[in-house]
Amino acid sequence: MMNDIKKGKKLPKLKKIITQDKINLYAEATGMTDPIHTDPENAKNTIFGSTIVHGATLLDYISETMYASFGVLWLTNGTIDAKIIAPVKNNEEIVVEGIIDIVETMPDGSKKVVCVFNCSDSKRIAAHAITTVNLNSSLK
Amino acid sequence: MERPLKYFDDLHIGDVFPKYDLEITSELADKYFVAIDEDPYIDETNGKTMMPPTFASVFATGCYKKFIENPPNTLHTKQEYKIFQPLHVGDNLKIQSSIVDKFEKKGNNFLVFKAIATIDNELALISSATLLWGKQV
Repeated sequence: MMNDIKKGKKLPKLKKIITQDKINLYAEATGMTDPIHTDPENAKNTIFGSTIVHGATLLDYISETMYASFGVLWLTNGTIDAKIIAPVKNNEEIVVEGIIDIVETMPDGSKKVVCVFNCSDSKRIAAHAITTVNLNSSLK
Repeated sequence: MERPLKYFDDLHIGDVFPKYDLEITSELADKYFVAIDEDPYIDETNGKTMMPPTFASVFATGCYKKFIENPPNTLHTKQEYKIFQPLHVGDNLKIQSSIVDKFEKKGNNFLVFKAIATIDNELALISSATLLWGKQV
């Protein structure tokens, strides 16, 4: 788990390249096989002009940063509230940037950390999320 | 099982889908980690692979797809979850999903699904997803 947890601290930046192979694997694993994700020919005729990544994949990238920063506690009591703002097309690079926004001591003495994230492609912010993790959670 | 195609007008607030069992197999976990371009999380206390919470959230709110088919071009616009315990390969999730809201905005149709997942009757995850529901063509 990261040290020096305080308001304003930036979390490690994460970069991912979207590929059709990864989109297809995600579709196969989750059953989310809508043609807008998996059929490049069909997708050419949509308003997007190409296939787009599953929105939930962006949440996974945020989750990866949270796990890298807070370890198993993130997998134990984490929360996320995410809004997918814009579609991300195949072959784009996603940059995930997060910052600690609030460190709050709870009535039971535990510390709750609130982080704010943006996922951006080359043109714009594609997703925005607020995450929380409790640092003093007892592990199951 | 054949899944009927359901359009916006076919679905209603309060619709509850049957309970669905999801076993987190090692094959499924491997496929998921490759798809998100990430190394598996190993629980140092027992050597088991732990799953990202988004994994359960996606299956939980998407479990309606086991029972109905959504129209093409259905997209996630919002997703929320709260995790209550770590998820490991070998766990069996029992998931139930329902529609908790539906609305129209700027000519688009939205459905909000909420799902609860348990492991051995203990709460594991609460998740909701707002989907832009594909239109009838």
